[in-house]
Amino acid sequence: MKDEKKSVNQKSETKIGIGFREQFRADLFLHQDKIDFLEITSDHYLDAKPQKFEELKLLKEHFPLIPHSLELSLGSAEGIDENYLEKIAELVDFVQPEWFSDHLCFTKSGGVKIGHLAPVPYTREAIKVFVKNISQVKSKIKTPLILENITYLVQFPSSEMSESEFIKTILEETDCGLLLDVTNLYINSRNFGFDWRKFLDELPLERVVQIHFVGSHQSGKRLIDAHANKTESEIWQVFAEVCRRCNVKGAVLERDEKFPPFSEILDELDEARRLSETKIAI
Amino acid sequence: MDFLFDNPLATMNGIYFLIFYGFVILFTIIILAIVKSQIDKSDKLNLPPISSNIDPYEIAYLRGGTNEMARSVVFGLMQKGFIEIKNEAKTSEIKRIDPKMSVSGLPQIEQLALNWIGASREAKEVFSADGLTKQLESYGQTYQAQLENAQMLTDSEMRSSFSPMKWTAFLVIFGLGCYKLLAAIANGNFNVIFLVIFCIIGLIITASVSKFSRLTKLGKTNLERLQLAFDNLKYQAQAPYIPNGTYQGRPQTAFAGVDPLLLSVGVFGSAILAGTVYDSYNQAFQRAQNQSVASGSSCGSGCGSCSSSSSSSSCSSGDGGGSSCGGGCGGCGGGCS
Repeated sequence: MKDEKKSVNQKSETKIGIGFREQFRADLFLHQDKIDFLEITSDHYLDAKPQKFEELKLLKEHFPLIPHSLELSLGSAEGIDENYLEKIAELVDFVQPEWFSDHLCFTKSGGVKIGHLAPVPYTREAIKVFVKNISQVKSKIKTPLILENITYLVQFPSSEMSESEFIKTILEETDCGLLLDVTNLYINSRNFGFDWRKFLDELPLERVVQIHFVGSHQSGKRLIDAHANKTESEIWQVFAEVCRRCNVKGAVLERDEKFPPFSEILDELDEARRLSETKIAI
Repeated sequence: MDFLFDNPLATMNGIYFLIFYGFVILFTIIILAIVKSQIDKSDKLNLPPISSNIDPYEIAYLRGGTNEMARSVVFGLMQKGFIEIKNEAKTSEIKRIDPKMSVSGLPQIEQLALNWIGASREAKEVFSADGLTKQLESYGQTYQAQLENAQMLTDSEMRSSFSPMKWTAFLVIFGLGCYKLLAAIANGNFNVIFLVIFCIIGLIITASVSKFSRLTKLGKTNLERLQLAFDNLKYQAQAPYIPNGTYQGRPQTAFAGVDPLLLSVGVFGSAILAGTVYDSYNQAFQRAQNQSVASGSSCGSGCGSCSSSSSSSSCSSGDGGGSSCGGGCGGCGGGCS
């Protein structure tokens, strides 16, 4: 990925990566041949202490890195936090990634961080906010920005369109790529009873650049995206289907809790590689 | 002759001369330190990438020379079940467990160590004149050459190019001190105790500043970088070996080309084994170190116990080795000259 300076939508094999967590650090260096790239959480390296910056340098020297931020809050009507955007721009400039990503959500309101990736109603008004904010980001950072679909626990009655239509419109109006979180898609489809295949039909799949995957977690009657479980077969199905339909450039395993032995992580990466290479539906 | 002891410097008032002398010493030492820093240009080089098939014995050598390499090899054999360590009241014995166990899969360095151990050896023998360190000398020389070639260890060329500057500094401090001493005595002033103290302190500091650490700037940076890269390994690798322990939320590492625990010992030293089922190893070498220091033999067997994080690691005990010790501690980024 580092060596192939291709545009976002150019056809390429799917690189298999992992979301960097400190707990994996040693194992990443011992298994470099099995990991094509790392996704770093941008927020961990903004105003970084020297040791954290050394870590970033170390990672950059050994892996292609993709920054993934949490707080751009692209859906906030109040606009983008200029200070935060400046720091993200500096990070992107340092890392020199092929793309960087954030979420289709808002995380700040009235200047207050809400500590959660919150959904917005699927309205024309919300689209205008996204388009305005993304335009501001793109004017500051020339590296392609890709946008991730999130999970949600409520659906707004005020929505004027479906989620897929909402995503499609934003992507097309902003000319951004999609970071399709197949786990989020599966979780939403289960929690709200829709067909994820039909959802895929409605998305502009030519814009899918990257995938996130991890197991879902049952919490009461709902599934949640806890980043704490092994990827289950149903999610592998979504993964395989997306790989079959799209030219995915990168797939990232996101694991944040209940870390298993690293050999299990490697098994998941191997499975992702197998599915992305064979491009067969399961 | 009159001018020799009758000039502004020779007749300068004691206090003023001491101030002047102090400045001369300070200036000389600063110049010396700058020149020394300039000679080591290794920080201009790029660090080599960390390999997936990293050699724990090479890192142990980088960290602490032949002694550390030998300790790591003994641990490697212990972990693979070829030897065990029995701690008695006063001695620690390294004992072969099953002489019939096939050694064909072992790296040559471990086979050599196993041959040296034979049926059993006392732990302190590892560092004796004809001990394991002597047996592994050829490996040490290879690592030394590789690391010098990579400019991670200071070499004789670096030292010799610094030598003229070092002796000039000694000459300036010692010469000026001696001259003033003779001038003072010639002028009938015998209150020279502070002059002598200044001279001695100046020479000691100069000697200290003149010492090259075993590792170059690049070597230190590389070791720090390895310790950062494998920082969490020391906890994760030891977790399965802590009796009745838990993983404490840390993922267990996966076996790669090199065993994680052996790699941890190579990178951080044996202190990381404290509290694990390999504690006997730790105790044996601690004792060997004490006995070695007490008997004044060799260069000391200890050290190698980098116990803290990468950014602030330090040796738990000094190796005390000079350049003749063939490695010595080297510690976690510093060490013997």
